[in-house]
Amino acid sequence: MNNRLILLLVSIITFSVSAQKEYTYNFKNSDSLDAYIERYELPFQEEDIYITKDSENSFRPYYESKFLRSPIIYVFNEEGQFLESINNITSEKKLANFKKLRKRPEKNEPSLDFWTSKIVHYKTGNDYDDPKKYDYTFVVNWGVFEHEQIQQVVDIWSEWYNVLMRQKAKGENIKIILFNIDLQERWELSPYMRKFVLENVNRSWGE
Amino acid sequence: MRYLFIISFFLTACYSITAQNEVFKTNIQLIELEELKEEIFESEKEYKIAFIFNQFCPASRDIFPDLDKLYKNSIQKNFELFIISETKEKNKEDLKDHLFYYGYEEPFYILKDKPLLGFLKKTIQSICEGCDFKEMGYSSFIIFNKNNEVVVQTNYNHTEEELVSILEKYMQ
Repeated sequence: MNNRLILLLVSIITFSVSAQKEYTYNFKNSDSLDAYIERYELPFQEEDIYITKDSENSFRPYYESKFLRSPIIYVFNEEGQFLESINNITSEKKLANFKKLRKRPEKNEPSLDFWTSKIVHYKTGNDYDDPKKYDYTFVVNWGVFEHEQIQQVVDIWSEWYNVLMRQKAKGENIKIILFNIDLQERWELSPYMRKFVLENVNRSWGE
Repeated sequence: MRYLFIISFFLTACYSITAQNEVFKTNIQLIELEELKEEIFESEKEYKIAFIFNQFCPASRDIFPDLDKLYKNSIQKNFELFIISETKEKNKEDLKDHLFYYGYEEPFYILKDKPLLGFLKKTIQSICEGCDFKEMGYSSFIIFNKNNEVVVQTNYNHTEEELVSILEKYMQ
């Protein structure tokens, strides 16, 4: 059976997989993200990388939602309405040919604003502010993970980003948001809160 | 001198813009089996590699990233690659999507006269009479030298590592 399919069955639904038990989550900053990108030779361009703005109003809503997982892509239409999520099984068909993307928006899912109101650029810390209208916006979740299958996950992120960049070069009017879902130093939490957050995250994600 | 500088600056800028916006193109050709045979045997390259591919076969998919790396990194290009796809003519767009997704630029050939049954037998026997098609499958390949003699014929007993190692030797 294809290795990727096995990986999918094991871990696609959430990144709180048992294989990550030994990994201890910690706070990240732009340097640690850059180091990870360099280490795994991710083709990511700086301008596309975003993180959560703060812990309470940004990270927490994600943490309490179903959207804090990876590898997954969330797709939005020109009006910012949620169309669908793409995983490793559907990615080849959908990302190579946008005609195969779902047309009708999902009524009960949050719109793109849910994401863009909570993210800042990972280096500048500037709010997401892009007045341009895109035919599609792709939010690609990724994180600084370390576990046994990480190389396969990294390959998937690279594949996804590369094919979306090829679509852009071909003239497709799309926006790519590489959404890093790690805990961020930029939140500047008090020592007490840092400890509290780390304990909680490591307990629930590490389970 | 100043003009030379301006022109060279302009050319460099143009090149950078082109490089950044380079549009990826897939390379799929529809061909009759006899025509393909002629292309292989008339090629002047030192080695001609005929690779049997099926986009839904895990073995084909697993080896292809390595083959792709070798193809893109080869300096001398002392070989010519013929990826013979089992894809039906009417499913050309599916193959195109597959190649676009992975960024595969290699020349893929879809046979116009693909038999309903016995693709491997007919195709392999046509390009290599002495090859044992019964031992070959998708991701197997035949390497011919310049004189169209078979140098290597792989079979399904080869591991992926062995196949990559053979390709490394000939895709320089």
